[in-house]
Amino acid sequence: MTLAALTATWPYVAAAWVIVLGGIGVYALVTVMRGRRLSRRVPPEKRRWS
Amino acid sequence: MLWGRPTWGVFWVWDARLTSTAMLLLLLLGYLAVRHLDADRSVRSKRAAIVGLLLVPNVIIVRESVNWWRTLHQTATISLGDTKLDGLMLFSLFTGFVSLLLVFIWLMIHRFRLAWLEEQVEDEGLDLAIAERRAEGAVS
Repeated sequence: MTLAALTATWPYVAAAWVIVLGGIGVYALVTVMRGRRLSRRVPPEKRRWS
Repeated sequence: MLWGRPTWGVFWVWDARLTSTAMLLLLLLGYLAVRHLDADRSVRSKRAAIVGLLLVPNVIIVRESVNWWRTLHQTATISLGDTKLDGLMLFSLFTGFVSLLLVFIWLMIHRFRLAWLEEQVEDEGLDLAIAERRAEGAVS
């Protein structure tokens, strides 16, 4: 691959990495935070994962 | 779509693979909509499961679209006994595949945990409401 082709391509590659990893990261964070919040609302004996 | 621009020169084209994948995305959004309908938990689950089953043929269509319709997307690159990929690219692809599979398993466990907690909270709220009504009845 030539330098010109690489320069033209890398923004798309970087954007793909950011979108995919960012999307998964945000979803994982929201899931864990919501899980922690809900855990506080159930009695300890009903918590399967603490 | 993102790699379509540097590869094909356009973000979107009515290619068989892209179109069938877009259909799959719409069906998945439909599944999520059914899953969040305001109905009884078991009714909601059954309806969502039926929509989920309807998704299966579409997955096959996406998989085979490049072989059934010769549009812009190339035919299957990886198949048993006939892989048209350079060794390093194949290694990178499978590394990514295994990594994302592990992330998927981790997310699945946590999403299941969340759904379990949501049900517990829902049941707790119902138990509390019943207890309050009973207490009101005992007073009057």
